[in-house]
This record gives sequence, C-alpha cells and structure tokens, in this order.
Amino acid sequence: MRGFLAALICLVISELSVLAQSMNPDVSANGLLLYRKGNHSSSVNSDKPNGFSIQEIETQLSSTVDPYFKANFMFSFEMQPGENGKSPEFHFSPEEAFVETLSLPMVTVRAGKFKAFLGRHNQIHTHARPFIDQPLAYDKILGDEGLNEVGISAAYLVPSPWYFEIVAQGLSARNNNLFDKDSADDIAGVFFVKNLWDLTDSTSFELDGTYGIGNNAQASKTQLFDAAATVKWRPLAYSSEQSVAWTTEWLHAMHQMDGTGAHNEAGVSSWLQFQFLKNWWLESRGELYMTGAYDNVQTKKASGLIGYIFTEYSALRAQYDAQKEQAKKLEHRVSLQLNISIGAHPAHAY
Amino acid sequence: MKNFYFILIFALVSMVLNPSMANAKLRILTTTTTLAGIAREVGGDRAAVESLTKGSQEPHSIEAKPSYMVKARDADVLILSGLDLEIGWLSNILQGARNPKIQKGHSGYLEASQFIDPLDVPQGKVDRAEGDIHPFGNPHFQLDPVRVQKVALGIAKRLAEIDPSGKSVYDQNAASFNTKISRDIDRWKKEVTASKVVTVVTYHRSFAYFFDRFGVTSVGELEDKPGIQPSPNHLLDIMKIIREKKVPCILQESFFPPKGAERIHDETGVKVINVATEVDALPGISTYEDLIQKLVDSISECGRKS
Repeated sequence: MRGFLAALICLVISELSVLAQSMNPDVSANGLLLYRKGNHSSSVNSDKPNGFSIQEIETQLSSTVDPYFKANFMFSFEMQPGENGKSPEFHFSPEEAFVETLSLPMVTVRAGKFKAFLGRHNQIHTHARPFIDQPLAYDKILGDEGLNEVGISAAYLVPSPWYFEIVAQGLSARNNNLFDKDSADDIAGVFFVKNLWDLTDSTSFELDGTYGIGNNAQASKTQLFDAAATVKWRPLAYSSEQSVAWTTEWLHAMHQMDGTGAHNEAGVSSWLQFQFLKNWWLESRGELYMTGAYDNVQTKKASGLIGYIFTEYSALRAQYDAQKEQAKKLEHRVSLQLNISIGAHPAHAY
Repeated sequence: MKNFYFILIFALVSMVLNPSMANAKLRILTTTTTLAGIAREVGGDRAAVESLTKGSQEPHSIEAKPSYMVKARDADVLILSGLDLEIGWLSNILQGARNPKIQKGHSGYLEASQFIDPLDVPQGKVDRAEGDIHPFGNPHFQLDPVRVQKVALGIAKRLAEIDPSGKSVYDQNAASFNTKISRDIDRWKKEVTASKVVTVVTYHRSFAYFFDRFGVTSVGELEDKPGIQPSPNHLLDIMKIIREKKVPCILQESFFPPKGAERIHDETGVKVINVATEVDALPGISTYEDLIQKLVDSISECGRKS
C-alpha cells in the first residue's frame, strides 16, 4: 500500500512538473562580448572605449498570457561610462516590457515600454543589428537606446494585396535628444507606415515612412521624419546558402526653437549585406550626418564587416570603421564581437 | 438611398482591395506544399488551398516574410506540420496576420502532427550540443502514407466542424483519398522489396518515417548533426560506412546543397539520387501520390546495377 501511495505521489508530482514546464514562458539570453581598438578611445569612460567589454547581456521572457494577450519582457545589463570620473558600471534596465493583443481582427494593440515602430533600425535589438554598432544618424539624433518609451500603439494591417501596415503610437515624450524629458505628461505622436512587395519569389522590396511630433525642451515642437527602403534577395533553393540585402535609410529631426527658427539635423545610412556561403557574411556601410543646412556635413563614416555564423545561436564578427568629424582627426576603429544566444529565443523579424 | 450607395461602394472597394472576400470557398492555408496537396484532396471543390512555402524551399529555415502575413490574414484555416518544424518562423506570421481565426487554440489552427505517433522522440533532456533536434519527435511524417491517411481524416473532421454543411463531402473525399493510398501502399511495398535496397545514406533525417514504413535503413546522414552542415571529417566517416556496408546510394533531398554528396560520389562511386520530400519540389510531382511514387522509383533506381 505504501509503495502504491509513493508511486501515486511520484506520478502526481511528475504530471504537475510537466504542466508547470509547459506553462513557463520562453526564456532566452543573449551575450555580446566586445573587443575594440581605435585611435580615439583610450579612456575607459569614453562612449566607445578600447579593450574588452561586455557590450550587453539581454534576457527575454515571452509567453501568451491568455487567449487575448501575449507578453514580452526584456531586461538588459549594459556597461556604461562612469559619472564624475568613476569607473564604468553595469546598468540593469528593463529594455522592453509590453503586452500585445492576439484576438483583435486586423489590428494589434501594444501597451507598455517598447522600441517604437520607427524606420528600419529602431526595433532591432543590439544582438540582431546588421553591424556591431547602430547607424550614425540614430546615435546622433535618437541617442544610444533609440526611441524606446512607455506608451501605446495600434498597428493596422490594411486589407490590400501587398503588405501594407499603418501604425499609430502615443509615447511618453522623454527621449533626451528629441523631447522635454522633464515634462511628465507630454505625449509624442509617432506614425509609421510599412509596405512590402514580393517582386519575385526570391526578391522583395520594402518601403517605410515615419513621422513623429512632440514638445521639446525649448517650449516648442520637435518633428521627426524617416524614410527607408530595402531590396532583399534570397533564392528559394539552397536558401540558407546565400542572400543579398541593400538598405538605405534617411532620418531627419527638426527642432523648433521658441522664436529663433528651427535647428535641423539629419543623417543617411546605406548598407549592403552579402551572404556568400552558409556561414559567411560580408557587409559594408556608408553614412553621413548633417546639421543646419544639408551641405553642412558634420560627420562621415564608412564601415566594413565580416561575420562567421557558426549556427543561428553563435556568431563571430569583425568590423572596421573610419569616421571623420568636422574638426577632429580621422578615427579608425576595429571591433570584434562574439554573439551568443541560449534558450528559446523568439524568431527575428524579416 | 445615399446609405445604400455608400455601402455598395464600400463593399466593391473592399473586394477590389481584398479579392479573397469575393470568394465563398473555405480558404485553407498550409505551411508546406505536401499538406496543401492533402488538404486539396480532402477539401475538394469546397476549399481554396494555398501553401505558404514552395516545394523547393527547406521548411525548417523559412524567413517570415510579411507577404506571408497577408496570406495568413485572409485564411479560414491554417494547417501546419507541428513537432516544431515551423518553430523558427510561423509564430511571427501568426502574430503579424492579425487573424484571430487561425491563432493557436481556435478552430482554424490545425496541427497535423496531433494525428500521428512520432518517431525519433529524444529521451531525457534535449541539448543544442546535439544539433537542431526536435524535442517532440521527427517532424517529417509526411513521407509515411499510413500516417498521412490519419492526417487526412483529421483534416476532414476539422473542416466539417468549421463548415458543417460540407461534412459529407469532406468525409467522402478523405475516404476516397485513403482508399487510393491503401491500394498504392501494397504496390509501393512490393516495388521497394523488389529493389533489394536495405541501406541508404541521406543528407538529413527526412526519411525516417518512409524508411520505417518500407523497411529501409539509413546508416548515416551527411549532416554532422541535425542542422549542422557536413564537415570534411564527417564526410570521410560516411565514405567509410558506405564502403564497409556497401551502401548502394545517397538520397539527396532536393533543397539541400549537393556538394557533400558529389564529393562522396567522386571518392566512392556511390550513386547520388536527387529526391523530393515535398509536393512540387521537383517537376512531375504535383500530388501526394506522385511524391511517394517518385520516392519509390528512386529506391528502385538505387537498387539497379549501373
């Protein structure tokens, strides 16, 4: 009898354990180990310091909540320059935390803290970026984290023969570079449209546009404009062996100054990604950043990257950058990145 | 009257923008062309069936193109293989489709693997050091005609739940399909037996169910591990196995690169036969019966003295 009871208890515990596991959210982590060497970045507190560093560790939990919602929570540990001469420190922050609807026809509503639908690059997490760093225009105009705010969005899939999505977003206007971070109740409006056409079974063309507006610290408005186009080719047969993608993105911020006109800043990035064997990638990128008039080029940057992808969970990438800011000496920088993923990481967007 | 014209214009514009609205058939979307082939047999004239992927695409590693979301947006039913075959891409398409009917837990979401008993289910904890293995079992059950008969019955049952007025048609179509397949299985078994082929090498474990049904054994795969491309050392090991066991051929799935198999052919002289594992993957394979017949023909070719 005792044996029977023990067996029964074991069976119940085992069943409960299976049930608990099947209810667990998908958990994953990404780690980015970075080595940099450049002729401008000798200080540990520079934004791109030389030497070894942990670029980022990101953990993600995602799961359906119930038949109506899906939730994603992403946390990052990132090394940031120390303040007032202190050593760099790891900072822990919720990178994204949002719920999305599952049961509404044609529309997905998202609420929480999330990377805004903006241009081609804003929603990409650090480990999935095409290059080790983000585009120059994002860095200069949006800042390190891009536009990543608390708010709500509604994404409508238009009933058209091609992919045509319209997204309206209301976000807290706290982005340091664009808006008035000290005003608690300001809401920025960001509107995004995305189109994708299949030109052939192997080739697609994507065209996106973004417009944003919010109050800035000069008691006036900042407007944001973005346009991006991508042509992508991947053959049907042996599709994991080769592909080519060419993207060009233009980002422009117009900061109205109270009574003194407007301050403009804009940047353009164009990058080519070429997968020439199953595991090998070659990439190149050219970028400009301007302020004031369009002929007032402040910064030029050229980058090249070679990547070896062991599997979809591990990769080694080497990138070279040459950057010239107006008055400064030409900067050369080499970066090596080891990119590791573990756990049940959700599939990346196309 | 004004309202009537407004509604009429709105309906016409909607139909132009979304032509599928004008189509009264049950819209079935499948993840593979083979599932589409089975769904066509069962759905008959009452269903418009489309596959997300082409037969020439490797179904594990599809990119979640937004254009697939447009197809999923308009579907009444989604039929997928399951057993994590589509784990790398389907969730994005479902999320992007914004179509509650085909979300998991709704009647329009149909996982075909629920109707079969899987092979190659790993024991104990699954580890990625073993490659890209499927924790719930091998998902390539579409190459076993007996399991596919069960899938056909499962599809008929679900279509009847969604479209009750078509129940008798779906039941009858599934029964006719299964009768045809039962008749063919006996002939296919005789042809495979007559070929005297008992061992082969493949690129991936795509044929586990087919071999289990027809009494053939795979003595090795060209992949080092599932999802990991062949290394030179592993190819040398496979060459040794081919020589020692006198393996007559390599069955090379049409969507995997043939370089490894060609190299082994150059070194050992073993036959390399390019085979389809999905409907429409190669010319002349437009139905499920064509797919299995071609595979059986390939086994016969494998056994033929060259």
